[in-house]
Order: sequence, then structure tokens, then C-alpha cells
Amino acid sequence: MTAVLFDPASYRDRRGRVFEHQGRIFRSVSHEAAVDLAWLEREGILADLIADGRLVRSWRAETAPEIRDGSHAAAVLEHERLAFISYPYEWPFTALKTAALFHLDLHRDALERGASLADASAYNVQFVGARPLFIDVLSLRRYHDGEYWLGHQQFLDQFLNPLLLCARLGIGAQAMYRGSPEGIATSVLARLLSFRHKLSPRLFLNVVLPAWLQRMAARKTIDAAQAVRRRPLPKRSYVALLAGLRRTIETLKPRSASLSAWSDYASEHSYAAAEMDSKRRFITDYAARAQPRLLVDLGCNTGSYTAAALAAGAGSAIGIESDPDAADQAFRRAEAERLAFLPLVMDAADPSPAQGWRSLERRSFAARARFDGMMALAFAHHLAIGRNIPLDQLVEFLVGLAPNGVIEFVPKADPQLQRLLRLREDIFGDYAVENFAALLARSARIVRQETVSASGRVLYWYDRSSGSAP
Amino acid sequence: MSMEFVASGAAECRRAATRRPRGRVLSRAAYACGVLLASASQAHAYLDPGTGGILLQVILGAIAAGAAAMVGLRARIGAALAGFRTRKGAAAQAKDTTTP
Repeated sequence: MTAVLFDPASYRDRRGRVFEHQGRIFRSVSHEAAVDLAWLEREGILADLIADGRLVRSWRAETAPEIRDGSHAAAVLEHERLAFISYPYEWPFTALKTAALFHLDLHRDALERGASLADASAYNVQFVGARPLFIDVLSLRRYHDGEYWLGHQQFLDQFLNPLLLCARLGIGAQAMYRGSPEGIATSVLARLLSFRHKLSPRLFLNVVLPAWLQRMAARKTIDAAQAVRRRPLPKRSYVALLAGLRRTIETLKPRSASLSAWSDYASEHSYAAAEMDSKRRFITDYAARAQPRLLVDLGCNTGSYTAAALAAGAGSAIGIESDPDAADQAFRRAEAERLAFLPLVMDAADPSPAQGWRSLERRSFAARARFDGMMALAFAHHLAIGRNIPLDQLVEFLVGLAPNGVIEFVPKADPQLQRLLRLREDIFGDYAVENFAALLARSARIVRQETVSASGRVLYWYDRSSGSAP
Repeated sequence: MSMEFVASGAAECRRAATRRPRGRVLSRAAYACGVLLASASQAHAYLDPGTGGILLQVILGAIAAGAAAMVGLRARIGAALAGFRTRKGAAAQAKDTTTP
């Protein structure tokens, strides 16, 4: 019997643990949790949510594999495996907003059916393309009259506060969120808000007031336990609380404080229309013949080439984009056009590291990166010139992402590169198309190449899988 | 949401406050969670709810109860007034019929 691998992120809730066995995802369910689970099944809640596409497809595992740690589980569930796991601190603004509204709606619908959610972790939501999906079945419980929303503070920390950072303060919350994976604390946000912000009723109620109450409780001025004991929470207040938060979040829009050099990219590009067309045709040819199931687009910007690749035959795509505004536009495109495309805010030169408990809980981007194909268009020079990455390391990194893909080389003569070098000493003696091509040919076979601009930009389609021709 | 409502809810909480005895005690949040677990109908949960969110819900619950009470009070006043008007009307009618 092959070993069972417990998911290092699944430890907080003693009522069940996620584990992997022979590439499949399972969840052990304790006796206590099995009671609620049976109730949820009888009421048809699980089946309805799965049919809706809101809950990850799950079923009772017929032949439950041996569970190594000796806990005698009352039941074992199997879950559909997702192609790619992402974390809330990687999501663009609109993705986090969509996830927040999704969570609140799910909770409200659960309450209508006599159920509730035990927590409000943003990590319980995953994205399949631009569509949110709830993955923690055991978070669904039977609702008990008078109970409080125990996930309230967690919801504020992990959903609302990062959104407010962007919507009110114009700060892309991703970097701060990554450094604070349990969420942005209300007390921290309260300190960042201006007096004018605090006058807004919504911010007062959802940030200032909870922060103040927390301080008073810490100073022993208020006894929370006593207050809770005297007064159960009426269900209509519970529902009203969720509805109020939903109204608040609906109105939030990203406020970009920075002059985004990239969101205008699509309009302000150094390409003639004909050049864009040849680039698009190259991508379409690659996607149609290589048919990558999961494609990564480095520097995906607003996702126009990603969309072209998906239309031509790529199964699904993950976008990596360091500019939060561009990534947000890409996500909104994916939502509007229902693309199997999830853009993430990430710096390719500093991708998400492993963190959390034992540095295993939140896996690094590299550990999650199991891609079938890649695209790096008008991107490589941002690392080579912008970040001084040596060309050989850069090529190794790029081809290491996927067995095949398309990389664009932008020469120094190109206006965009001239702009990057304007105020700098040109220390990049080896940055030239011949060197790049030679390095690429060392690691992979060049299937096709094409010069796509008058300035000498070249697209390379490489393939490093042995002996296979697409 | 008006400030008076919020203030009245906060006052409600303060009335419920007790000075904690000195000495080692569990953290407020853990204690609140423990109390919630102990109460008959509360679901079990692994999560530390945090005092800020919980107290906010206490206030909102108090506000909802206050609003409901006001609605009830208004209904009772309305019913009493309607009764008064009816009696007044009946008395006036009786006076009319008896007056020659």
C-alpha cells in the first residue's frame, strides 16, 4: 500500500484532514463531523451546491485507503483534483472581490437551508479559470439558533481589509497580504485610514468599530464572554450582517494610485498592426499544434495573447503579471469572456515562496508550477535588463517552466528597450539575439522562429521534450 | 446606521461588563469560544473568533432587538390611541342621541 500524504495545510480543524493517495485527493471525516455530513447529504445541500458548480465535486470514497496516523475516521470523502492551486495573496483585486461576494452568498444560502459556515478562510475558495469554487466541505455545518458568526473577524482580515487597502488607499494589497497570510488585521488597517475615511459609515462599522472593541476587550473593559452569554444572535441579524457586508463589498472598485505603465500597453505599444498580427498568428499556431493543457503566460499583461492561445487550443492558462492593475484588467476580461484563465499578481523574479506552518502550508509557486506549455512575450528583457538577470540563468528559468513554449527576444534596438536603458549604463554586453538563440538551442530544440517586428523582435518556439514533434 | 443606535448598543455591552478578577485567566477570545461551546445549541468550531467581530455582533443583535422593541412599542401606542379615539367617538355619539 503506497503511503498516504497528509496535506500540510490541513491541520487546524480536528474534524477532518485532507490527504493525497496515488494522485487522488481524499478527506478523512471524524465521527463528530460525520453526523453533520450525513445531515447535509439528507437535506440535499451538498448535492445542490455541487450541481450549482459552487462546491468542489465530492463523493464518499468507495474503497477508503488506509489512513496511516491511526485515527479511525468515520468516513472518507474524495474530492475532484484541481489543476492549479492559487492563494488569496496572489489574486488580483476583482478576483478577491468575486471570492468575497461568492463566500457571502454561499453563507447566506446555507443559512436559508438551516446550515452555516464554520469559518471564513479565503483559502477555502479556489478559482477554476475566473470562476470561484468552495473546497472545504467540512466548513458547512448545521446552523444552531442563536449562534454567532465565528468567521466574522477572519472574513474581515482575509477578504474585506485587503480589498479596502486597494479601494480606499490605492495600495495593491498582494505584497502585504503575502507577508501576512492570515490576513490584514483590522487594527493595522484602522491605523492606515485617514480621519476622512473613518467618517464613512461603512468603514466606521467594519474597521474602526471592531478595532475599538478589540482594544477595549484587550484592556478588560468589556467582557466578551459575558456579553455573548446574555444575548444569542437572532438569525435575522446574522443574515443582515452578511447582507450589509455584501452591499459594502459590491461598491468597492480598485483605485490605482500609481501610474500604471502597463494598463495602457494595449493602446500605447510600439508595434504596428501588422506586427501584432504576425505575433498573434505565431501564438495561435503554437497553441493549436502543441495543445498545452495548462499554459503559463509570463507577463500576461491584460491577457490578450492568452485569450488568443486559449481560443486556438490551449486548455487553460495561468497568467503571471507583476502590475496589479494590468492583472486586474486581465481577470475582468477572463470573467467577462468566461475564459479558462486565472491571472495572478506575482513578480516572476520573486515568485511566491513556501510559507506558513513548517514552510509547507502554502506551497511555493515553483512547487505548484506543473505546466504543459508557456508563453513569455515581450517579457524576458524585463528580467534580463530590468532586473539584471544573467542571460544563461534567464533561459534556464524560462525553459524550466514547461516542456515547450514561446519566448520573445527583444533586441536593444527596439524602442521599448531603449527606454529601459536610457538612464543606465549598458552593462549588458552579451545581450544579443545570437547569444540568446545559442543558449536556447543548448537546452531545447527550436521548432520555429520568426522575426515579428522591424526593430528585430524574434519569437522562438522551443521544445525540450525528447524526440517529440508537435 | 445612526450613532445613537451604536451608542445604545455599546452601553448595553458596558452594562454587561464585569471587572475581571486578577490572576491568570484564559484569553477573552478563547473564553468566549469556550462559553459558546458550552451553551447547549452552539456548534463546535476550531476557529478563534476574535473579540472584535463577536462584540460587533453583540451590538448589532442588541440594535435589532431594540428596533424590534420600538416597533412593538409603536404598535401598542397606536392600538391604545385607536382605542381612545373609539371610546371618545362612542361617548360623543351617546351625547348626541341623548341630547334632545
